[in-house]
Amino acid sequence: MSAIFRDHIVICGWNPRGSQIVRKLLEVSSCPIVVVAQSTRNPIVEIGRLERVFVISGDCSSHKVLMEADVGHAKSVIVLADETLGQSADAKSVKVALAVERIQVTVHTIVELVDISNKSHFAWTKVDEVVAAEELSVKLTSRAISHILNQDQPGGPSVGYHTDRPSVLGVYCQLLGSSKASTQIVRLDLEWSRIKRLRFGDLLKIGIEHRMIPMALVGYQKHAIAARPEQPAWVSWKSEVYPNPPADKRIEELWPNWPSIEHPLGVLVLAEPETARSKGVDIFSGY
Amino acid sequence: MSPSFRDYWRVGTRLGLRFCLNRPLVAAFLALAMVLLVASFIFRWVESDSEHPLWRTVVYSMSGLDVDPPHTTPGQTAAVVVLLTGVVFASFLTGYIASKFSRLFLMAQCVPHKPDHRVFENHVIFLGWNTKVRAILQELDNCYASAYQRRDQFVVVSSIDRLERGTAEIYGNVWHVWGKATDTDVMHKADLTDERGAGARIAVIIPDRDQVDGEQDRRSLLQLLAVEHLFPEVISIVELKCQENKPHFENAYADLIVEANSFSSELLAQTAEYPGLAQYMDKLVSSKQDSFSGRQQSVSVKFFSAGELDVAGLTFTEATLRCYERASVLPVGLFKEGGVALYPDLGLDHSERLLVREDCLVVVSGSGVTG
Repeated sequence: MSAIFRDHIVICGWNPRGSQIVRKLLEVSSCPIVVVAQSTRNPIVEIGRLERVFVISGDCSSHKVLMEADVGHAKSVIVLADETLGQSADAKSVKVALAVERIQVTVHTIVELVDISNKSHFAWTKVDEVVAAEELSVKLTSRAISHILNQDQPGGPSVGYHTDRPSVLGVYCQLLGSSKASTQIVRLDLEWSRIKRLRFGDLLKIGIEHRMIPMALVGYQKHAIAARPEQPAWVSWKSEVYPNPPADKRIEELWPNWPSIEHPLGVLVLAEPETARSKGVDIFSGY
Repeated sequence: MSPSFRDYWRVGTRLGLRFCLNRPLVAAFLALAMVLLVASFIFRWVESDSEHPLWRTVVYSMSGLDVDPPHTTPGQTAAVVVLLTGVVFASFLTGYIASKFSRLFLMAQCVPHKPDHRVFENHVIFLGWNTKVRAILQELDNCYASAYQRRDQFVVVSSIDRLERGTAEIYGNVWHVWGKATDTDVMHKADLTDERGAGARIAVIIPDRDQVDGEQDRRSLLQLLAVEHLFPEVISIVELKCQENKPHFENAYADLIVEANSFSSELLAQTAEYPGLAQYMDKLVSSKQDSFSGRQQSVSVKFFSAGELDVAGLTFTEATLRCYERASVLPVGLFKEGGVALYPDLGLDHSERLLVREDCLVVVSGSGVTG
């Protein structure tokens, strides 16, 4: 049976943050969005009937329901925590993530975590990224405290905290594009064979000429799990983000083991999204 | 007229009774000691014909074992009294010393109480104690690179009796003030205000996870109001759970609002479109990296002046290239009137003009970079 949806974004599960996520996706992405929820009532009530948003009723961990959502052809799958389950929400998220990965292991999966202590359970799955609001809260708060305290220390930044100056928290939000600024971090996928001999310093010079600042590279790292004696070791490739790489090292030196030339090198750039999406790849690939 | 003996007796009795009522255990201990002493003297006086009367008295008070039992009836009576009171006295003393030791041991595993005589200034106050506060302290411990930075003091205001002490080095500077965060006396004890010293620098309000989001925000708001009322100069950092409550916190003059739920929703959506973004933001906000590749990849957002980075006289783009070549420091924006402008949205007047020493740059750099 041919897929109805391709290169779409699937949201498995629904919670109070779902509507904000859908609205943001409609802003940043042109892909269709498929929401899979136990009851279709909540998503439809909260977001209304929007173009490009489709709602499917069913259990997110069910193979049949996930096939109906064409997870195998999705660009990304977001697994939202089911807060009605309390402490067991993460256990359900693991189930859903495993069901998704079983259908298509290469699909990009992002899981929303409730309890930080459960993060280690996802380390051995093929889930690509894990986002925990509690962990973000802890880290953002400690960054804010550290920023204020470090102003008075020898060797600390000379620009002190002041109530009428923007805070470091505001900068994090701006980088994410959550304020109304026109610049944010976007990702460009570049062909490995074209880019591997360049250095990050070269990418920076190219980017700056075209009003973009490359901030990090997204490569791959081999991830092996020790197996039992009678079985071969299980090997997978996990994406690895490398912020502020050395300016003078070639990219192929940073990743001497690259899975295959079909795997693109990701570059996170700070730019105006429209400019980056329309011209970014050509600009960097042309060198 | 000078006080008579009767007056002294009356005052002494009243003081003695008050002492006994205020400290009943100490009074019982002293009474036992008196009885033991008197009985021992009687025993020694009555049984004075023995070779070692004093040693006999001591042995009787501890165990009653004696090869030469008392011969006289008063001596035997005194021996019984000495034996019973002696055993009780010894066990009383042993038990008291043991409880002190076990209390010391227990207190070593708990956050110590802030002594009243110590005055803290420019410290950090946490209102509440839960897993999040412990996690924040652990993160701050990871951030600290130098011994100088480890001098910051942290006070936790909580009505929990004992706060479990972690193993991180930062716990050497963490103190507990027992009580409710909305209680004025408790906040004075925590040196929030500048009555005794300069007052606290930061007050952090972290809600408990056990309550629903709306209730968490209500409690945080009450605590924020109390803090801002007592000492408006303190920098208040408060976590917001429900986005619709943000105007209330702004009206209450919260200095920094951490909107973790909203931030994580944005991050989930953006990461679906731009894979790798969540990992990058995690590295940007973390103090310690868990990369299995072993690369040193700790980065964070910092503010430096153009003078400090030695880029005065250059344009922003020239400054970016120079800073990165020298030290992998990546300028990404500038302070402008009203806020931070991120590249390339610096505005023509800022992107083309030459930087001056006082210009403040927003940079992304490694944790070891201090300018």
